Amino acid sequence: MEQFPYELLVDIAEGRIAYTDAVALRARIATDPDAQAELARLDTLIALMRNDDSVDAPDHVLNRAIRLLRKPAPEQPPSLFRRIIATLQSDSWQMPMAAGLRAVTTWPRALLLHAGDRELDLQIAPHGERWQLRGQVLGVEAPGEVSLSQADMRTRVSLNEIGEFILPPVVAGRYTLVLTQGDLEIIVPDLELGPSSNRI
Amino acid sequence: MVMLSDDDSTLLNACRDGDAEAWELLVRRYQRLIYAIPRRAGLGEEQAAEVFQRVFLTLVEHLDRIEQPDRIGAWLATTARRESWRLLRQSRTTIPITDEHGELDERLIPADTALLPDEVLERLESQHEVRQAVGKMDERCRTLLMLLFYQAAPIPYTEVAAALGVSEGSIGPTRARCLQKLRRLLEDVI
Repeated sequence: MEQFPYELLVDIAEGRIAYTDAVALRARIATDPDAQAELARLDTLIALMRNDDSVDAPDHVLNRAIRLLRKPAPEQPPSLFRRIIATLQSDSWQMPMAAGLRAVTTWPRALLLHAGDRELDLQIAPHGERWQLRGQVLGVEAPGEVSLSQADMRTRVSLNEIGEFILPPVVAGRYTLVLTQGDLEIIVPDLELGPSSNRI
Repeated sequence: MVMLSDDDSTLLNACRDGDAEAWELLVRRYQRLIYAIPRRAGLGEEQAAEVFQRVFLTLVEHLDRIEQPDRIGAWLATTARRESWRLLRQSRTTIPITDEHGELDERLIPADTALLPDEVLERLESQHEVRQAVGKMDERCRTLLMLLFYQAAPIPYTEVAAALGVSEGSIGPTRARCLQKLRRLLEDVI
């Protein structure tokens, strides 16, 4: 039985040896069950690595899942009604990309807004000729509702058990989004839904 | 306090106690695999994101009912495949499958049976295991294996050597040692 150095097996598996030489070597290695088994494992291992084309989940998707295990809202003594204006933390359309390129305007557009001890994860996407806003309240687990309004219309939905909401599609335009949870009201005053939603 | 090197069982048990740090480590450990499954099933980015969220929400809801914490990877992968199928079935009922003349367009009909067969799911899980093992190796081996095997096109040894700051002649033996170590780490997988 021949001895085959491990480095030779790696060279064959990696494809660093000319095809005809590799075929001849593989035929010789086939006479050594241990070497053949090791070569087969190396073939498998290298193929798994070379064919791994998986990519990381987008940051906003990952962060939303990370926040699923949240602490319940601490009990607070009765307080006055609070109203907070949300501020923009990140916008998928404004994120710098590799090589200094500006991000393209892909849908859904993901916005992250901060308001007190909460964050609003919003996603704007086209829905036929209308526009749909969905999102999740992060940071504190509590029931609540979300409303989207314009001069002559208002639509309202409740948060589900994990703080998510999906509003009915609306025509393009500038809206006010209000989240109400207990004695707290969070306002996003100038939220533009539509193809040119380049600001909030 | 949990650590990056903790095994799945340790992390899952800490999650059961409400440890948000353990939860984050667990989500980060499996994020690539769980995002890859709906994408491989043919779902778009938005639907893959929905599957991703549902899988981890299901895990939160079942934390106390997972009977084999050391098999959490397989549980997550199976859940991701089930959620992908469910979303594809929903899509089938809402996406038009006729052409502009109202005729049935068979190209638009997703074939459930062809989506993510067991061998594809197993390959994705194996690739996850290999990537995790590579991540546990020392920096030199990790960088070398990433440069040699995780690039879209093979990189010449001269460039690999330059990137690592070593001689070209040392790449071959180092690569063999690193693969041998990796094989030992993956004894139960490959």
